[in-house]
Amino acid sequence: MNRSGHFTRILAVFAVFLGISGTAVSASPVKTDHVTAKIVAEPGTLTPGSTLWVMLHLKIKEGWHTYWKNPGDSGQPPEITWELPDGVSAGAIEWPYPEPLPYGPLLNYGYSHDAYHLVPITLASNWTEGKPVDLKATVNWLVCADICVPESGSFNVSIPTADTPQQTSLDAALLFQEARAKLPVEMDWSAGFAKAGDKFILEITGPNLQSGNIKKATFFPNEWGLVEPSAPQALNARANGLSLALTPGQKPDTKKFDGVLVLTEAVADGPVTRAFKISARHDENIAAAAPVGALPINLSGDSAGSANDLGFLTAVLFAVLGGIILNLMPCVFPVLSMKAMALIRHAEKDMSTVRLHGLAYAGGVLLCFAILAGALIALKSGGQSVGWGFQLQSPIFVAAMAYLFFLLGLNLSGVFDVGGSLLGAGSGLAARSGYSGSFFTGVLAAIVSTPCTAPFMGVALGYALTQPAAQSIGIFLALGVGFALPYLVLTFVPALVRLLPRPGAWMERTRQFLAFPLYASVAWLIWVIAIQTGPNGVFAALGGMVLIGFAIWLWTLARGSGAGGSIVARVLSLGSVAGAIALMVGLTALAPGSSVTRMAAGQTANGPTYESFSADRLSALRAAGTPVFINMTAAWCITCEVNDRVALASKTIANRFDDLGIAYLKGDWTNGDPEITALLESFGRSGVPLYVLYGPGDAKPVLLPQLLTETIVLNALQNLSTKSQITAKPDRSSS
Amino acid sequence: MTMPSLTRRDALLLAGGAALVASVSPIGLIGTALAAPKPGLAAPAFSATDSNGKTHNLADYKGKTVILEWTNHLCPYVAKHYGTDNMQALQREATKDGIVWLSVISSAPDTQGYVKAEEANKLTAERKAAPTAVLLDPMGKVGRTYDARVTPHMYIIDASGKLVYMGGIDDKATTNWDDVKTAQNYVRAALDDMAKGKPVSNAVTRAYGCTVKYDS
Repeated sequence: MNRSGHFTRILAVFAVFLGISGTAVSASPVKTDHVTAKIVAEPGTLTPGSTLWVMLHLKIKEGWHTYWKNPGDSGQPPEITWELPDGVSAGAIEWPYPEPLPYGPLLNYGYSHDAYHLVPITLASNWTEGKPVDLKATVNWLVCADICVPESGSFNVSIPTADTPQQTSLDAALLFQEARAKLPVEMDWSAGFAKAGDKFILEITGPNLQSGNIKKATFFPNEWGLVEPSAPQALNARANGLSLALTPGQKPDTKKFDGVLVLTEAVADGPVTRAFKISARHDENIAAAAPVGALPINLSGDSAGSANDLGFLTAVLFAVLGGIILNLMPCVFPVLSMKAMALIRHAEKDMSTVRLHGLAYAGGVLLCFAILAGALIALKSGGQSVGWGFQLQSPIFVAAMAYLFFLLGLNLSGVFDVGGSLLGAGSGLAARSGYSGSFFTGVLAAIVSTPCTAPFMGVALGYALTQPAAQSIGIFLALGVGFALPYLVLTFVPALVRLLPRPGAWMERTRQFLAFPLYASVAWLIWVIAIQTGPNGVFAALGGMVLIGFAIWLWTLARGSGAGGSIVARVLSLGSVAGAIALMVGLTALAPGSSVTRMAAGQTANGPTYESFSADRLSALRAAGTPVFINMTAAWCITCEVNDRVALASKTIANRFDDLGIAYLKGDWTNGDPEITALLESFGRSGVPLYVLYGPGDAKPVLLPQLLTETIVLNALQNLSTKSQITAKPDRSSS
Repeated sequence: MTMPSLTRRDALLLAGGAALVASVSPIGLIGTALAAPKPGLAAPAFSATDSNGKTHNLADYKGKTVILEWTNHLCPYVAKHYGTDNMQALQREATKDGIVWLSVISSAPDTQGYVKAEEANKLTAERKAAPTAVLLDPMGKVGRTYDARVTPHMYIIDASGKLVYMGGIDDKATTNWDDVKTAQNYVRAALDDMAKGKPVSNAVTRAYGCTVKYDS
């Protein structure tokens, strides 16, 4: 062989040596004025016919940022131009979720400090065995602070394909872990959007999507023009889901509503942020689902949208106006009308008495709203995500309201008469004790108004919940003032009362008519129960209403009959009521996610098989020295659900569990469980999720992070096998 | 009578109620935002001084097509179009056809792109630019009226005062000078459509560039 041939061979051997020298496969970093850029390959082997991921990592100078694939109002995302040998292909960049970067009135989407861009590199199956893959890339990026600087860099990366185990570099592994945790994942939620007024409503629903613990939600559209980046996004809870009100951008293409939804959920040890791929289809039913008077819930103030721009005075005005309009809602109108009609009957009499009744009514209303405000503030400072109407997330409360409306409806229909004082529509008005009757009518009116909302009210209350306690209560009281105002005005202005029609037969007919809006409210509340607890819940609630009707009949009998019969009747009546209440309470057992079959032994699709957790089973396994993986989850924990699907539901994991002989115990903490609580506390945790890996023998347990990726789990299993020297079977998966 | 104190209270309450009701009525005015410019609607009016001290109002140009070009000479995206003579050529073509071309500088004092009158004129001469005038808008009034977000951001107003185009100058959102040759120029396409009497086919496009450096 001639000299150059020798030389080439030496070089080739040298190159192969460099390739398997045990350092992470990466190009040497390119340093520009504002960025240190490098391309790193994920630890692993690139074999013919398989894919390995590489990452462009931009470490950005403090105060500067680069951009996401949709940069927002301005900016430009990085662009990679690859020069690849034949048989090698590079896929599109996978982008971790961005952060919002405000600039004056504008908003960009991008990254500060670190930007990761993952690219899949695929090798053809006919690749020469052992030949390394030499990638060349030219990357352009725009990095901005208040000015923008276009920068670029060239990279050469050589990835070995020899079947020698690559020493994993901790840096590369950590980088990929960090990046993968931020990649948007797919969930089997359904996403729909519709235009409602001048906004887009994006609605996400899923069987276990309980939005109670969501602290923040942001939607990042994939393309320019769909959504106005700088506009706030008002978050609302729905039964089994949530909705966001988005402001349309300059060129909304409503054929494609794609983007990334970033949710921050409050779990056991702090907030967990996760991104989800959203591809919403147009759904007209969504706009229709937000009528005035339906579920109005706004979650805790951070995402209260335009409410944050309100001033205090404007919020007060909105609250007063909302309160006035609230009188017209089907929940409230019947109650108020009956009160007004009582007023008519006594208008001839002492006007000052009438006024005092009006004030008593207002007092009842204000007290009730003040108590509600206090409760909401207390709950909110306790860390709960609450908003007006949050109580409607509890099926028990919904059922109780349904019972109440049913009762009131029956009263108006004339099924029973409670001596007239139920709605102040009787002779009690003239007596001093009638004042307390009016007071409690005020309380009642306030209570029945809670399922309903009115225009202006939602915005004002959303704002109220972002303010300190004093201002918050002030706005709620303003709502109460607005609510009580129509009736107050009637009692104070004699002229208006004289305008009311003279008493007559029409009053009785009107009274019966007004029962129907109440029955309609009952129907709507049963629908809510249906969504929350399914058909069984509906049966329980309707059964409860039957029992209530029965109890009422017995009670009226009791009043009419003699002493002995009356006691029996009253006892039976109370018994029926107790039965109705029991059915109502039993509704919690029917809340989604706590169905009896859920935590029997099972298997998430493709994932490892698990058994139901119990303290005894754990001790037995540990006594035998078996390695155990514990997963504590709950139906209302979105993070838990996502981790299950994204990190624990793959054949790779299932196989590794098998190979290592790991027993998988899963605990469902949805309804609380003292054994699970005890285990959580033993690890210093107050809630879920909790992931614990016990090695074989008496190895100390290892806690995994709350945000799981498949890599994290595999690495933990890897450490387990290395530590205990269990020989793992060769990796079965080839891609 | 037993109620003298109540009567006073009545009056107070009534007064309070009336005040509340009265204050509630201006609610209609709350929350009116500035109407954002939209193609198909009348272009918002503006008034600004140019680099020679002359005042320009949109109303002055009724009967003529007006092009507004937001610019910042230090922005790499603007440099791409001026460095390749792309912007100047467009300005020459347009002004030759009697179109009024107004370059607008909305950078606040001490921010990137801010220039005083004589420097603005110097730049125009150096770059051989051919606008009808360069409007100095350091307070950002015109910029905010038109919701100008980046430089370059282009707006075309037809002879009747209607906004017919708003968006980018072309479809290649890069700082690469070579891309000017191969990009589809939206402004030229819009002017072609208007010359043929057709409605502008791409009335709204994404404007790319550096953010306009408004004050605050």
